[in-house]
Amino acid sequence: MQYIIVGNGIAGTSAARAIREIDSGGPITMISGETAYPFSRTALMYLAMGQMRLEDTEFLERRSYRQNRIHLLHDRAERLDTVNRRVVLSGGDELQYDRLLLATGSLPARLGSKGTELDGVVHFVSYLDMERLMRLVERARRRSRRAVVVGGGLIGIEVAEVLVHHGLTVDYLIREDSYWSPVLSAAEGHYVESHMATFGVRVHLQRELAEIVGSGGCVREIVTNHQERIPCDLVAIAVGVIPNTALAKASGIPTGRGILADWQLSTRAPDVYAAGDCVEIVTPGAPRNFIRAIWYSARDMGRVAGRNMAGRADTFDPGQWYNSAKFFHLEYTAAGKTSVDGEEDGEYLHQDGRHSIRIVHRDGRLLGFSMIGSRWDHSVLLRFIRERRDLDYFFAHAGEARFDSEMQGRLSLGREKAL
Amino acid sequence: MIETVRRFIRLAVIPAYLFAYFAGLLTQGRWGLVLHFALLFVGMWSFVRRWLPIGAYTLAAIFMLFYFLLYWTDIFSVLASGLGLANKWMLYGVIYTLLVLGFGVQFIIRNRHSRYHVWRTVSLMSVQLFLAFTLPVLMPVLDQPAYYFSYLWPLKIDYFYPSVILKYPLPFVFYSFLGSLILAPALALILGKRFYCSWVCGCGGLAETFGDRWRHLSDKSTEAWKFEKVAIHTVLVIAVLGTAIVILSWTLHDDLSRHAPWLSGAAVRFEKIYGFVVGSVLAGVVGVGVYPTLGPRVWCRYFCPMAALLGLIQKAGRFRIRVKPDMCISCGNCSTYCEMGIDVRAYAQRNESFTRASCVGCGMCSHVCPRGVLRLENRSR
Repeated sequence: MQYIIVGNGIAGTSAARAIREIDSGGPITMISGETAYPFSRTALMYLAMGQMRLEDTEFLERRSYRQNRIHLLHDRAERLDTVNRRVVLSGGDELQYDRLLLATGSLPARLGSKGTELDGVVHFVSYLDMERLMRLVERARRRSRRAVVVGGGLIGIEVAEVLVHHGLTVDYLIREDSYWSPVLSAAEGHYVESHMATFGVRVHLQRELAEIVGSGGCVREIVTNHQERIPCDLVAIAVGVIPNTALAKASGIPTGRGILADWQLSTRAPDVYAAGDCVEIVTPGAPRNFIRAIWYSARDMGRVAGRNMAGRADTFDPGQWYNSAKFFHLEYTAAGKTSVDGEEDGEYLHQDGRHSIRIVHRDGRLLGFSMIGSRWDHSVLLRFIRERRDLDYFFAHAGEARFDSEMQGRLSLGREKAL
Repeated sequence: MIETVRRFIRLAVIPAYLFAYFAGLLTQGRWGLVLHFALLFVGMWSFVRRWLPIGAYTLAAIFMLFYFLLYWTDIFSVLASGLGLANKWMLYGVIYTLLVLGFGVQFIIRNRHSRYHVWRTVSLMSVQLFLAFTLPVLMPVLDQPAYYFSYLWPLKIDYFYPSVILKYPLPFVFYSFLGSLILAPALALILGKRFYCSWVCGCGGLAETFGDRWRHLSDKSTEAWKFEKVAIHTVLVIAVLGTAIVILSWTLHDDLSRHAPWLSGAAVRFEKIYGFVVGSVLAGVVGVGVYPTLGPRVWCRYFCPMAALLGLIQKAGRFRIRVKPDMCISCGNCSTYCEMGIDVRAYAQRNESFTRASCVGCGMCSHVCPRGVLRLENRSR
């Protein structure tokens, strides 16, 4: 059995590992135009801050690919011939496959504003973006040292941290009323904003990018939708990601917003699978399709797709929701349902100088946790939810779930005893 | 903030030097000499760092040269007497302690958000200042022989040599044996070897403070791990056997001279060779010399017999690094900043809580993890 994996992100890499666990013989080829060895995209900001070198962010020791007979091909796949089961590479070479995985990830969403083609505008999704950002930072350091970040999400705050780290002054445009409002409550968003402010980031809420003004082809200033003008040397745009379906589209594989697949991660083309950010999972009869551009989902999807490519018939189960992030120095853990919908959902909120906790519940029963600035074992929190525990149980047993380092001291929960 | 301080030093050091020169401060006896060297050193260092970047290997060569001059020449004796210090070891102690204190303060500022790091570094700095420097200097003044309470056998191997330890009053003899054979192993069982390697030990003290900037250079390869296991346990076996020979030859001295004179010869030779190879070359010249190329824990990781012994105990003890399941994003910060070259990420990816013999429990992997996946803890059982 010949396996080909297009994309060497976490979905592709975990698929390769899953295949090897079942099929120890069949040759596996991973194709990526981005880097020669798979690296962790979540470490992009640490590369940009000079905290690690590229080798440090690679998932596995380089020689382990040879040991596991996983062939890495640093090239671009241009097109699939799904009838004759061939991949056409950028140079015109063709590779034969029996099972193929599309793990092409996502592309940065683009803004329609005027001036986004100017030199000095950058996204922050791929390794190339990171290198471009580094060059622009170097240039900005020789100029006015001012940068603008657009987009109140996770990538936006990471770029802001990178820019602050390199000594730039950052103006941060957020379209919504508070930071990351689709996920965080307004109180949490403001909590993060004030944390950012202590690092010198100037947060502008309810501001969109209207236009980027350049001179000589380079960015000079931006204009917001309120007609404010902010001079700057670089503009980082981080307004979300969209599934990368280019290869599927070029090969006639059905796509919607993402590459259409079922819960076993098979696409509509025979023996072609898809996993990670690029997938749109269709449930027959359901009103909405499933797209999730989360690192953890990509890892789990890759595992399922890999097992199915090797002959199993596993179904991808998104499981209980959890996620994590870091906002400058504040660590964030989410577990379960963190949105408050309708009248029946209640919310418990405690914030102090050190941390913020928010618990969503219904009639006292725990539904979800959103924890900022302290460490929690999400698996224990999820167990509390599964066991249908109530708020009082959480306050009595929070110690089991707390994951802060030793000696971090007491942590106030706002009610009952402190931890 | 630190960058501002650096810039200030660069700007201020030449005027300060000129002022001191023309005010005649540089010729005021011992303190003039100290001022002279301090200004010269700080000034040269800040300029060299800015405009003449020294490669890692050059720096390593400078460190090794320092130890070579210290151990086998009289240069530092001359320097010491010029500064009014008793001998070159006193001068070495001053330099060592200043490095631990100075870079310790920097480490604390940089890691002020982690209380574990703050307390650990405060402990290392106080032990170096009081137990490893002030006390041994003061004891001779009070007509006591100098004793280093923070060093234990088998690291300080001569504290088990009868000819050495029996020169001390009885409480010191008890402390030496109790500390090495009961106290340290018991604490390593409960807390892991970190209680010693990252909270007390002077070698660890220098590595964690002065050596911190090079911690990411440790070798993470599987080969390095294999070499580490062979090397460090070989040193441990040699240290234990050697100590046994020395003790035996001392106890049986009279019988030996008649029946097996070779044994006392072997004991003398062991003391000499071990002191040279392990004490001077591996701990000093190599151990500190390769800081800029292989990281600050080369001595601790590959050669220290104390670390080997406590590591074996740690494996049987309660200390572990707990991994929070399914939360690792494989970013690699933990493995990069592990000064012992442990591939922490591999365990985190597999959701596997673990105890490694070499882990000195510095807590850096847990500290740099952006998702809070790792936690140092003593299992309660």
